[in-house]
Amino acid sequence: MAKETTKEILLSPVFTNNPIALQVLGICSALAVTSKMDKALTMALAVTVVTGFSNLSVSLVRKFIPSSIRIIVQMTIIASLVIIVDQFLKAYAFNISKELSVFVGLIITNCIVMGRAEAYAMKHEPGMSFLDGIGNGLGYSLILLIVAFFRELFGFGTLFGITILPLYDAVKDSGWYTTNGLMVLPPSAFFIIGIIIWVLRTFRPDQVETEG
Amino acid sequence: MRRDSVGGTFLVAAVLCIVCSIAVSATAVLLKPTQVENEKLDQQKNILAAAGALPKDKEGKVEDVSDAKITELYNSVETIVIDLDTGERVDNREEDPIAADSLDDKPKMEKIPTDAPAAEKLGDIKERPKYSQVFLLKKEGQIDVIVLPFYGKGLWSTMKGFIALEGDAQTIKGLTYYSHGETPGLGGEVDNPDWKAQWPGTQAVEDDGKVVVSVTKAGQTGGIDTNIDGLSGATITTKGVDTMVRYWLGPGGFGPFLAKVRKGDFNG
Amino acid sequence: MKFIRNLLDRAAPLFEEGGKLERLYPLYEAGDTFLYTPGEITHGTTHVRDGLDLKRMMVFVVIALTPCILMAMWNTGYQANSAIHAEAGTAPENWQESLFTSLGMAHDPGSLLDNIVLGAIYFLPVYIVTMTVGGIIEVIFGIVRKHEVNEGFLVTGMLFPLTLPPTIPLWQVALGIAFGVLIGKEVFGGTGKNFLNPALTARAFLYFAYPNQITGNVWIAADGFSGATTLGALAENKDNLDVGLSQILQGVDGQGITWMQAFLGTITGSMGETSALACLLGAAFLILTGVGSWKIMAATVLGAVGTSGVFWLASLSGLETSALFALPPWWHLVIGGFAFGCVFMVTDPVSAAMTEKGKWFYGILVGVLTILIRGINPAFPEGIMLAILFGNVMAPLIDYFVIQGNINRRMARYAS
Repeated sequence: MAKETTKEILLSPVFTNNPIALQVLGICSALAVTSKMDKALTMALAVTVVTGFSNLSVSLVRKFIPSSIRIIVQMTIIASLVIIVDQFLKAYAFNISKELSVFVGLIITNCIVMGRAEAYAMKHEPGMSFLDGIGNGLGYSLILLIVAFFRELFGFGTLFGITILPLYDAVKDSGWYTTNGLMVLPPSAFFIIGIIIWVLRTFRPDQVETEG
Repeated sequence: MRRDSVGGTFLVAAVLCIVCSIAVSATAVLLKPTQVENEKLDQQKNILAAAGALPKDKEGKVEDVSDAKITELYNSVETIVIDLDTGERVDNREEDPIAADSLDDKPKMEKIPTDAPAAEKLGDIKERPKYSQVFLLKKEGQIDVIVLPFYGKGLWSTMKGFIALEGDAQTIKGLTYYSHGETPGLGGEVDNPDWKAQWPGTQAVEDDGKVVVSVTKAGQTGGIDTNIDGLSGATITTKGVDTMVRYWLGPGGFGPFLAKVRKGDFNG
Repeated sequence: MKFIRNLLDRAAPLFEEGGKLERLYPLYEAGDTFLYTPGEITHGTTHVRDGLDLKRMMVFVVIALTPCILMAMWNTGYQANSAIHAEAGTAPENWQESLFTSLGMAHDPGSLLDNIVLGAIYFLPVYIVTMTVGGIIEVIFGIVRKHEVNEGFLVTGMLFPLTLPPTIPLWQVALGIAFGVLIGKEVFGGTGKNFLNPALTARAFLYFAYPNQITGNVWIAADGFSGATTLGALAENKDNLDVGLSQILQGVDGQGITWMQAFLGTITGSMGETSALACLLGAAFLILTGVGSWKIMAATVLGAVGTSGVFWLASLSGLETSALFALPPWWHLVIGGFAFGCVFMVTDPVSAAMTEKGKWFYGILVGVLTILIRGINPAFPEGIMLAILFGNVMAPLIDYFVIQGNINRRMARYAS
């Protein structure tokens, strides 16, 4: 493999090799936390921080990790980071952390974090690993925010809690928009991710898997 | 020592465990006070919201309030513990006082009698705590607002909230749900301010303790003052709200306590 | 007739390869083959057994739907007129009403014409919107994907309006059918490759997206009148079953409804679903022409009757159950959308199971699930829509196991 530039490492997971859209990893949380922009943004930040620092720490100690227990070691590092992030959210972003509830803790099970630690950080320098983690986190964030954008806009008529589409109110006779209840329910994230992948692969046919 | 040897493996595992546990426990310990503070503020905010004590803007929407403001407003709130069966205050009695903090974990539960009339049952829920906290907002020694914690089953979830009565222990002052898992857009509208706005001022309990408030099917209040218009498209959540409001204000819930308040036992 | 043929033939070069309007060929093809038997002949070594092609098959379904459509118009009008006539509700202030009165009609539930005209005023706009929006999407995909516009859409476009309440806002109809055609069909490659029934996908979308306009008091086009569907009324009165069916199931005239009324279809519900009789006529036609699979229909009824029968007997023997479980099986068949779904939706050849044995499993699964959803789920009184969609998803798996089972048996036979 040719030596990748810093920029490529950081940006390739965002557009060309997106962990959600291409590898279809980590979509469980994409369903659960994307009903509103602020929740999605917090979750996106949390995951980016965790992937970045777990890649960094795994890469730092990669020469010392015995191969027999390497998965457990990665798990332990990731789990510790997730708990720390969760504690910080509870202390400094209480309302959002209350809404995210267990899903912050469930970052541990997000395949992206573990996948990057095993596939990239175990073989590369700490600096590069850190960037790779941040890049993948950003790729995840991008999809999360796109999904949340549509879900909050059509499901609540707002973005970040600010009214964009004024809701129809029969009593006050104001507004015109009727909220779409499907968008509020988690399965709508499946539809949106599906459509994103459809659009993406229409324009980049090289991402289409061949059968067999 | 080589890293793949048994000794090396154990060494790495041990070091890793120690480092990670120190990091995790350090953050947890250092941040604990802030988190506890957050939770307390959150509960206080919910109580104040139910009591309608949070500042409002011109359109009647509740404004964002700073933490300091909540603490300041909450200074006028007195927390007491009552025995639900008798309605008596128990946190300051001489024998076996029940502290408010002790109710947070493992409260003492009591069975709801299975032969009680339907109105004195909390739906399918079989038991309720023996003691409950009650929050009183006082003005010049007189009770101004009574905030009662309550809960009950909706369609999918147990809904938890606070219901507030005026000092006369008869008129509803407001209510709020801080935790529920109802269908967003339908039953989930229980925390919609527009829907909650029809509660304040409704007579809930008559002088003799009879609960008169009731939540009807959407659009079928029939113009009766004590009827609250239900949530459209959410029949079962509406029924759940009706059951829980009527239960907790009735003889099975806070009824005995409210009767004592009306007699003036808690003023001064 | 010759004239139209000539016209089409003269226009043909324009649309064929190299012609000016080459891109619009699907439109031309659709018009041509709708009017005339397609000119293509089979090439290669296919074995044609009869002259039935997809287009003719779909047209048969539309014919089979005719009783339901007529019933939909009459009953929609009848329900509204009855409510207004009995002064249980008032005539709504909308354009439908102004059109109705400007035609010189009166709200007389006894008059066939009054009922049909009022029903048509509610039904036709829904139908027109469905066909227009769905048709446009179909044509766009036909042009982009270079496939022919399929008559499958005529059926989808006919089924979907029949599953809706008369008061549904037209923009929701447009959005629903767009979703159904796009996500239910075109995403997977168009007719024949969809594993979900597009009409039901569209309805399910509206059901979850705009529950306020598709559940509750939307079934009668009169203001201030609350008429829940029979299923809705049953689901709501789960706990006080002792009052008796006739108390719970109240017709538009305030009287308890009878089984015969439910069978004939003079009850509230989605426009086309109320009449089990109309569905039965459609079923007879579909089975006689061989378009609909009698196996699937029979299996669905079997599954539903079996499940509801068990619960009914259990409740007779004193077991505490909900109102919908205690309902006798013969009621389950005539209320809600069961008959309609069982005849026209479950049998959709594209999304149903293909293997003969699989059809039995598939039908029974849908029947059982329908009753379970009706009885257990607190939020969705109508089970057939979700049951069919679930059955659609399972159909390929059922086929897979049936085929594997056959292969294994043959292997065993030849091995011995």
